[in-house]
Amino acid sequence: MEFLADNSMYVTLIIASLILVGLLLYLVRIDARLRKLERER
Amino acid sequence: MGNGAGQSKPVAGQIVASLLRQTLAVARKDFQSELRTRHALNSLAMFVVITVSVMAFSIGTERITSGIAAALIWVSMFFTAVTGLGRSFIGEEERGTGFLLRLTVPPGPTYAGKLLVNLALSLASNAMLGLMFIAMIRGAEVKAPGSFLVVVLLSSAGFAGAMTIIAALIARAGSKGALYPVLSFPAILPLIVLGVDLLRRSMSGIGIAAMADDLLLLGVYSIAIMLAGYLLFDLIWRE
Amino acid sequence: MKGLLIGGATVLGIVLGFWPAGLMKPKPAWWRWLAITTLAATVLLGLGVPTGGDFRSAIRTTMGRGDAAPLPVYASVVEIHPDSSAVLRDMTDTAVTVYGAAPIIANAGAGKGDRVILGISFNRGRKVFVARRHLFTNPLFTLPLIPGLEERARNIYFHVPCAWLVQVAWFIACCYALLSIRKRRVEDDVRASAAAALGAVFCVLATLTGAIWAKFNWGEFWNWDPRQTAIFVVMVIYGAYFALRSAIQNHEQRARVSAVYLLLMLIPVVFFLFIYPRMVDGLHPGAGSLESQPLDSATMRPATPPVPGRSSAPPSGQAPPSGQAAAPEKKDAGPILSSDPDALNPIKQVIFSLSFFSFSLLFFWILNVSVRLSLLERRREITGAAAVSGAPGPIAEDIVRPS
Repeated sequence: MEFLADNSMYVTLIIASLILVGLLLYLVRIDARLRKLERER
Repeated sequence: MGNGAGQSKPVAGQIVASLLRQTLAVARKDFQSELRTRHALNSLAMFVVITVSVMAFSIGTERITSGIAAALIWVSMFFTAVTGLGRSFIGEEERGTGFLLRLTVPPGPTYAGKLLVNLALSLASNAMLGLMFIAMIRGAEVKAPGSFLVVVLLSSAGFAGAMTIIAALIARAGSKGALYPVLSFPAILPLIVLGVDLLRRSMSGIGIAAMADDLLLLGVYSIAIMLAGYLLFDLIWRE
Repeated sequence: MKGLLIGGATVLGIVLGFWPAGLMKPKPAWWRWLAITTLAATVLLGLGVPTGGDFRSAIRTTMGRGDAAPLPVYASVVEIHPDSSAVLRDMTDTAVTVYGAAPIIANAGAGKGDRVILGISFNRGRKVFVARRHLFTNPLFTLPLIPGLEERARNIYFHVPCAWLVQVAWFIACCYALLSIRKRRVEDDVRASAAAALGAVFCVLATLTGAIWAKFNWGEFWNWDPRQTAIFVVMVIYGAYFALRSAIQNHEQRARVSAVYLLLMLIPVVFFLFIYPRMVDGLHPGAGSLESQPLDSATMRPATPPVPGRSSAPPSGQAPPSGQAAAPEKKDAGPILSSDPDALNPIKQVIFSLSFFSFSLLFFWILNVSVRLSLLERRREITGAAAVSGAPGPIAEDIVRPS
């Protein structure tokens, strides 16, 4: 915490990567749905 | 049966009178069937008694501040509303009388009638809750009874408005009981945000005039949710 | 001018979300390339353009903490002394002697006349500036150093577009909910629910990123600031919406009931977005309504970066954290505190508009894909049901061809 408070760039990096990871997880979910659809075909 | 107001271009006054009559008929029907069994009324009253007793025993001999008293009253009001006020439409669906109601009464008066019943139930249970809190819990004193009454009145109206339309939604969802608190919480949260503070202030002796703005906001929100319910009810009630 | 830039980028992002191919057909290749390049540019510029302040903001920012953390100061080298100190002139034309700067500048291969960004700390005991490290030589662009925010100021390129897209998603979902009630088309229900699902994702992201940011600027992860309350309510509504949807099996019934619920929830949402922020003091800057967001964010105001100086006392009444003490600003001071925002930050405006634009495109891309996928699933469900019942209906015949 102390380190992050002094090196504010890492807070920004955490936030940016959090958004990236969140959207990636959503992408993975969409991909799983699509694969399920393709398997049934 | 036709729907009353259609045939020969009646005057506006007549339409209003007919709608009002239908509204009261729906409300009277519900009241009568309620008085026959007293199921909802009894269970609501028992719920209030039990809630206040649980609070009283949990608090013990502690003397609480008016802020905490107001918060506890609101917690009880919320759960009383979400458990007790949802019966109106589910009863119709369970008894299979929903479609009869749909045939004989247009949606507007149906909604208004149910709203009236819920308003009465909500007012009764909240008044009982307030009285029992004052009687049973040390520290829950009301220094400005007038404003306390107005706050309880307006929040009851808000509860009734939110719960009526949400009950209609849930009746459509196949009456899933667990959905009540989930669906109604966002609609009731503005009431809580406004109401807890208003209740606290009324308990610590602030009059109606001094908090007129927030009271107005509470009233406007209650009316807005009722109106929205009225407009939307049409869409889910029809087959 | 700046309002035009950011407002234009916001509007253009939404227009491009709908215009070529709508939500149900694949987007053309140029559209996807535009999304990728602008998003890459946002990330590169948003994280890459170096921050460089002036000496005054460096003093102000180091006030609340020890000497350990150096701050980036952007200055040109005027003179290099043999005693390892150097005279640097910052953007406000303040020339200052910085100790220990000469070898650092020389090591970086820079010299007299070059513009450098050095990590500089202010020694309050001896009242001198000491250079710690070299950060950049002759940068093309710099971002201003905002006391109390520092590098966290970059969050407006990531957190704020997310929060904005929550509202866009909400609006789209409500529009299609209304349409699905009016026209009773399956496609409208699919679009409404897909927009709501994606809105929920962005809602979670905006909440999490906001909470982390709040920890470092307001001292707590969660403060029940009006905007935090509003996004919390929106999140609960999304949860309730999907709980309601999963409780109803009949498709048509589900479409209608959930659409009505979404429209009913407009009332609490309007309350929390427009009325509640006026009732209580907020921590977010520009605690006005959201309607002015795209225009006013020229000054980064409704764009909602937390301003440290704004709340002199956090809601719970505890002592402000170290970063917060650094900016004893006037209450109405905007987020760009360092100096005249008009003259200083065109680059900031550009990156900010770019971020709104690119995040909007990304949002609509994902929305487009998930709408198309949901439509396929819906169609498959119908044919599956028909196959089970043994009597393919007219729709099923259309899709299930003998292969």
